[in-house]
Amino acid sequence: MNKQLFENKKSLINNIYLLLGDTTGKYLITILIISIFLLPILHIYIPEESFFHISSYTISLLGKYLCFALLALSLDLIWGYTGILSLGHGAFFGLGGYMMGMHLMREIGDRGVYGNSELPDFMVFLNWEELPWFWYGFDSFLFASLMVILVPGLLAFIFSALAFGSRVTGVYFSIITQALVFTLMLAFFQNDFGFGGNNGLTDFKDILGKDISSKETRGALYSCSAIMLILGYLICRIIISSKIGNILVGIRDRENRMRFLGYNTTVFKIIIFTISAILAGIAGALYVPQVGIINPGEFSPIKSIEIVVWVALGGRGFLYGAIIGAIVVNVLKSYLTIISPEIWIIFLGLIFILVTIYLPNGLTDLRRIIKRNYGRK
Amino acid sequence: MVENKNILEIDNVTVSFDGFKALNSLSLEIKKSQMVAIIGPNGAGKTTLQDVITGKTKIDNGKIYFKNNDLSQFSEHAIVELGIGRKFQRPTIIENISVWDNLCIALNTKKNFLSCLFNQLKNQDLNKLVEIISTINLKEKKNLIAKNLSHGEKQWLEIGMLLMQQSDLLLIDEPVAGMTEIETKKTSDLLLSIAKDRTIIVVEHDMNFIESLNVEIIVLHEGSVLTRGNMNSIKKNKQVIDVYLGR
Repeated sequence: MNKQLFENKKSLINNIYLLLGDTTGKYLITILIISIFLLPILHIYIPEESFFHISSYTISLLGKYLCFALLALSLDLIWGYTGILSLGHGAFFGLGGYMMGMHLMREIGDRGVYGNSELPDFMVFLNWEELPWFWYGFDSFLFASLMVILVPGLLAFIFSALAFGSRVTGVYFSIITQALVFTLMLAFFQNDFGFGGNNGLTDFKDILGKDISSKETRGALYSCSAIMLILGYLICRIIISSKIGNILVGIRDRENRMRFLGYNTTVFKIIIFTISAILAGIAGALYVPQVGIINPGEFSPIKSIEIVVWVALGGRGFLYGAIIGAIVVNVLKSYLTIISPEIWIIFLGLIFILVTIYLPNGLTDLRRIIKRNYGRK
Repeated sequence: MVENKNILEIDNVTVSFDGFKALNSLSLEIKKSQMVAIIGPNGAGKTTLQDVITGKTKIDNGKIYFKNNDLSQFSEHAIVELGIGRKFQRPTIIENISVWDNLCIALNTKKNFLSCLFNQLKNQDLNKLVEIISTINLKEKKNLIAKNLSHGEKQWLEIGMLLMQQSDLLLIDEPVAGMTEIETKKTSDLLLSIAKDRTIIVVEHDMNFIESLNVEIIVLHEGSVLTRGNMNSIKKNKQVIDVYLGR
């Protein structure tokens, strides 16, 4: 009798529109889609004297912000929705970055300082005779891209299967994720670990045969970052707007109850953690060619904690909140560190405290406050 | 074998904790599609009885048969699948999702990752959801986030989630504790309406509520059944007055 009330008649178009989620999410995606085309055009075709020209510094900076936004998004999926706080997401971001960095090192060929076409510079410097086995295959972009997904994904799968399988949760899980990222940092700092020690991988020349610092490449890298961010957003939305979204909230709030309802919560957590790590790895892989370097600093525990701050500031449990948080904090960071590097960390701490007290849902609360005070009556 | 009309048979069950016998050679049969109420003073073994039926506590002695299955062979999880649902005293709904979504996740469909990702409600599932949300009187509040429900409504939602699992036997622990008079009345109507095709065991202290259910009453005392019968005979029973009602 009241069936229409409950029936959801959806067309495909309607489905896609619904998928974009709330109004803010729709605006955000629209802006991103426009920027895919607009920013590279402004960068490449508008003469440098023009007001509308975007410098190569700016476009790489913006591309970097989008990589951070994707990283924040991946953390929001596991923390905001599933309630599992990872303090080591930098591990997956860094690994993705290293995989891409290894390919870019191989593309240098014999144009390095030592002119050795067989070995990257740092290996020649260390008097290594031949390429270590784990560098095999990275000449191929396709292989490297595959590794960008496989390596962080596999590590996350094994790590979370061990942790969740033995019912490690809450703060204990957070602590071992810190340990994971710290271990990676120590390992990658070692010269004989085979990834360039504390200098990391740098001096990249080409990507896919194109000069990495050319305008076209920088424009394309920005577009790729925006496209991956949109795809990442859509993947997260598909997951959380399906029944799984509710199950994840259930796991966050009452995991035992979900088990009692017949869900294998461990499997759900492992899958979500792995998806999240893969997204973080892709973000890292796009980040490296735009900043031109990857070093073990990316594995420093502080960096992983910073990601948590972005998500908390933007609004945990709102996908657009994570994106906005990452961008806002990093824009502030870029400007404030120019003015005074010492003040930045104090300032970050201060806004973190203020937001936690006054805006428990981060910047997403601003929208509600504005709506309440100035909204249509 | 003759057809067994008892859905649940508890045969001479003993459970002891450090020498204290929480259940002492307790025997009990519950018929199919019957609602019974269990009363008894504190420490009579009411909670332990529910724990052994749902497999949470292992029994020392005796046997429990549910639909002719020996329950000692089943894990907690498997007992749920056999068709025994339990409602705890405190509501354990998922607070941050809507009433409708709470019922959806309790639906007994495939519960692996992929089938949940591409889940489309089938027509029969939809009908069942509509039927149950109407039964528990929360149709108007289907989109409300569950934490905004009143205490009574949360209890009904919890009962609704049990119904979604299609259990044949429901164990319901103190459903009206902390409810207003009107909520209590609605709860007894709700239980009576769902009792038509299910077996229900209600554990409750509120005698007025039990009287309004008008069902057979089982009195537990010191881990075994003291007596069973309808309200009038219980009220007149000298032993029951001594150990429970009189105090």
